[in-house]
Amino acid sequence: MFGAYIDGVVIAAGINALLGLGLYVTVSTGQFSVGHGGFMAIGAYVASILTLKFGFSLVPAMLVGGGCAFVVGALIGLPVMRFDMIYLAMATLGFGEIVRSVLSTIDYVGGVNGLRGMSGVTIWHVLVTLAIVLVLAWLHDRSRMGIAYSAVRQDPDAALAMGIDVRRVKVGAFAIGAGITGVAGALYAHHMLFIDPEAFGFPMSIAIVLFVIFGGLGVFWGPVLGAIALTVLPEMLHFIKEWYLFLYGAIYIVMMIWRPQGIVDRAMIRRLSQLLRPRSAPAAGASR
Amino acid sequence: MLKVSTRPTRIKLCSTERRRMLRAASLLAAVPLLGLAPSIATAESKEIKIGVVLTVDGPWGSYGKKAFRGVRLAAEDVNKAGGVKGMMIKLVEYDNHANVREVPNIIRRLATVDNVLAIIGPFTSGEGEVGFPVANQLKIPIVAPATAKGGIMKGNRPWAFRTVMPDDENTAPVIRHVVKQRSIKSVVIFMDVKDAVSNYMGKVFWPSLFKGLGVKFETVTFQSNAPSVAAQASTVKSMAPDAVVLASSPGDAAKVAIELRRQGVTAQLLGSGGLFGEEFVKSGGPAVEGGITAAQYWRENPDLKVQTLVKSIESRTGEKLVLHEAYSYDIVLALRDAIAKSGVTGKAEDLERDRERIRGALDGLEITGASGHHRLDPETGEVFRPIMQATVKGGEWTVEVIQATKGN
Amino acid sequence: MDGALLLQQIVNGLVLGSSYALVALGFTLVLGTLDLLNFAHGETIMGGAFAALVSMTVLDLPLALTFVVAAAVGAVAAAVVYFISIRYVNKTYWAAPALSTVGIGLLLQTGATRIFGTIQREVPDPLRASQVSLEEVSISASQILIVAVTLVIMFALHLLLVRTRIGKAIRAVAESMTTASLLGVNVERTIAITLIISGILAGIAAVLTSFAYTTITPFIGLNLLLKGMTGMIIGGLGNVYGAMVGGIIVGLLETFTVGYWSATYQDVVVYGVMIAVLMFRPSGMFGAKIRKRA
Repeated sequence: MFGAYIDGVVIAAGINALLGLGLYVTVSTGQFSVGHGGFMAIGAYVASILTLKFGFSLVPAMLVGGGCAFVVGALIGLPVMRFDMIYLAMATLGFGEIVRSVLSTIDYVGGVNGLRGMSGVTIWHVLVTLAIVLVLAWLHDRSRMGIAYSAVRQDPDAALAMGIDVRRVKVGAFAIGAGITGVAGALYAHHMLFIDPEAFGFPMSIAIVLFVIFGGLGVFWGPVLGAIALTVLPEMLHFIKEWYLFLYGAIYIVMMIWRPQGIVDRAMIRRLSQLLRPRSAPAAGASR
Repeated sequence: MLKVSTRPTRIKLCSTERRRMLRAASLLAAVPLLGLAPSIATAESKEIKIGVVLTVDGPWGSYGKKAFRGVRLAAEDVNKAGGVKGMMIKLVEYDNHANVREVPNIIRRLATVDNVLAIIGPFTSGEGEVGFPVANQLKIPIVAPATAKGGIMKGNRPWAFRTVMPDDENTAPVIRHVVKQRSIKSVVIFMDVKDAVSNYMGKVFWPSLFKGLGVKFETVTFQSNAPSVAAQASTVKSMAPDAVVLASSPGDAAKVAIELRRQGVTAQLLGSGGLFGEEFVKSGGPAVEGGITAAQYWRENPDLKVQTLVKSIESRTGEKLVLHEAYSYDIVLALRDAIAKSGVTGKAEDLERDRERIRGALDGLEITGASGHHRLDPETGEVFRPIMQATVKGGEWTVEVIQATKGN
Repeated sequence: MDGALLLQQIVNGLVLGSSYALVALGFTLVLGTLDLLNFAHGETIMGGAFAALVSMTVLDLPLALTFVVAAAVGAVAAAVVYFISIRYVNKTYWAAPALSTVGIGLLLQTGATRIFGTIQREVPDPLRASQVSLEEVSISASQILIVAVTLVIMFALHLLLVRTRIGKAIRAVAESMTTASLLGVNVERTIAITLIISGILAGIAAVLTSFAYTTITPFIGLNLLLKGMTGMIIGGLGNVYGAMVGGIIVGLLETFTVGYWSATYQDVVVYGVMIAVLMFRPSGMFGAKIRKRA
């Protein structure tokens, strides 16, 4: 639509935004996963097999891929919901690595040779999917479930005491987050035209984490901004050539020192909502 | 119970606030577009723009660095000699920071924003897998100095080419010769299961070759990311074969060789063309002495053309000319030849036609460059080079030609 | 089954496991006292390995001094982690320190790429010439060294933690920072010292690992980190003794999978055991010793 290059960047940004949202849903209940690359892989591989070997078209394949990731997410979410932060990090890390290593042993999906020949992602696929997920996220944010998520993140015991089914919330958050990530994975596979297990290892999982951290955990569109920024930034910084990785590492460090809450945090949301409010009326609405 | 406010917030901005926001928004929107402004070729374009996508980062970074240098030196040399049809070569270089996902973006940018006539690169097979289809789609010729994996070229014709000969082409004649010469009866195939090329070689190529020669073989596997091969070396020792085939990248092969020697395995070391290069010899040291592979490059080739180029390049870099630098250098020469004989005008309005002209000229192009004589196959986009055997003698490669370039 | 080969593989497994054990040790020490997942630990070891390389090839130092050099480099890297991730990072956000270590690791790796290139470098093994042969099992002196040094370190660490004042301070801080400070422990200083110790351990591990690996590149960090984490999980988070046993178990698992099955399944087996431990006995074989967090 805008020319092959910009289309490509927009698609990549859109897929990354979906990945950010997928992780955000899980993280918004306080469960920090460092293995979402595994869910991305499941979605990518399932969808690719369906389009390559069973003649599915992209959208159903994408949904089935996301569905499989959803199921696996629920299965993972169940045992890990009682884990505390550090165990959760290790467990999800292990999950991501297991998915990657198992995939490389299965010849049917190409093993280490990978799968090639997928295609069919247009800018509309990505934008429509992103729009749908954003709308759902916005609705969720304002719903009772959204508040429950917040409550579980802030204090699971208090949430339990107030009658929230913490178990359902946590496992649900894992499953839904995994599902969105799986859909993003399916789009990724059909955009890159080739995937192999290495694409979904720890570096990918940590890249998704950076989308979320960079953008900010304050609200659901924080990770979207973070993902877009981190997709567009490399395109603008090509002139720094071989210094790029140093900059990337430095960003991690500088962000964590200066602004670990990300670009969009609660303070910024408050300021933005004040900017958009009519001058005369005092700030209203439920504060989070 | 928790209450949720369902009243929508009314957004009403006064004019100054609106103006301010609009200004901020347009500034923010403009920033990314700054980097994307398409380069406008002047009506009288005296430039041939050639794109380069390689990387100095990641496990192949040292190779990428040499490849970049080869391309730059060649462009310098061509321009010093007056350019191509009076037009100077301008390189548009991008580094994909060892990130496979970046490669398609860069190729799209080179093709549609920088408007280059052809692209040199990428380097690894994974990058080729995601890069070649994009170049093919956008109808721009792309020539890679590496990407050894089999099967990539098939779906990406007619626009993708590569100048490294796939292992199964260059290796079989050499190994047949060696097996007969040294009466090798039993072999252990030591393969890296993590690398696609090694996987193919170890699972398909070598077994079928040895079956055909009536040589007994067993397979031992390792993963290149778990760098201790002591266990496997012990296993090999207990098998006591005549020869060990190293089916992995040259660096890993060197490591395996060292471990094998440390454990007292004295078998003959064999490898495919992929093993050939400085890293195997330098990293392997005395452990790889006597090792035999198919050679992909002959620095001491007595051909006058080759020697002139090799010496000229080495005098400027102060280092021995190695395979990937020579290959990359030669791609620029090949492009020069393709442009020279195909009526390329370099004008902005002729961009598509120029690319097709270059592509057509690359089909079947024959050239003798720093890496010797080679020819591009019009059907497959692969390259034909002479079949050569290389033996490690005294810490250096000694090369002998076994078969001249096919189709000669 | 070939008895001699089996013994040889056990030796190989113990050697590999010892280096993983040292990795797990440094990692778990920091995790137990600081709740910090030091993702730069693998790259710290990589730095120590290259320091050993330089020390033995360029500077031509004897093995003993090489250990010192590597330990020093490890300590420096740990100090960098301390300053960036502990002192200056905004700690209001619990994930921030760990994430900043990811950045540090990337910088170390990229820096090593620029300085040393990406080619495999052989680390000379000065003890290679001396081999001990029992029947058909040959063990090199460096393999013996690896296991011996690991045992010595285990013992030394145990003494440090149990007998010395600083060791007690470390254990106190690991239990509870507030209580420790109330009891007069200089918590800041103890934290710094813990990191330095983990750096020294990393440096020593680096030298031994280089021998086990025969060649090194700037990219060996990630695998070491993951295998060290696995060893730590098997043994029990924060548990120093568990980490050592866990590391050895990982080494044996990997060696036997590769020797008797296929390298294809190497990672699957190791991470499979990690997941199994997390699912069925999350506190590990010896019990976890980290502070409970929500």
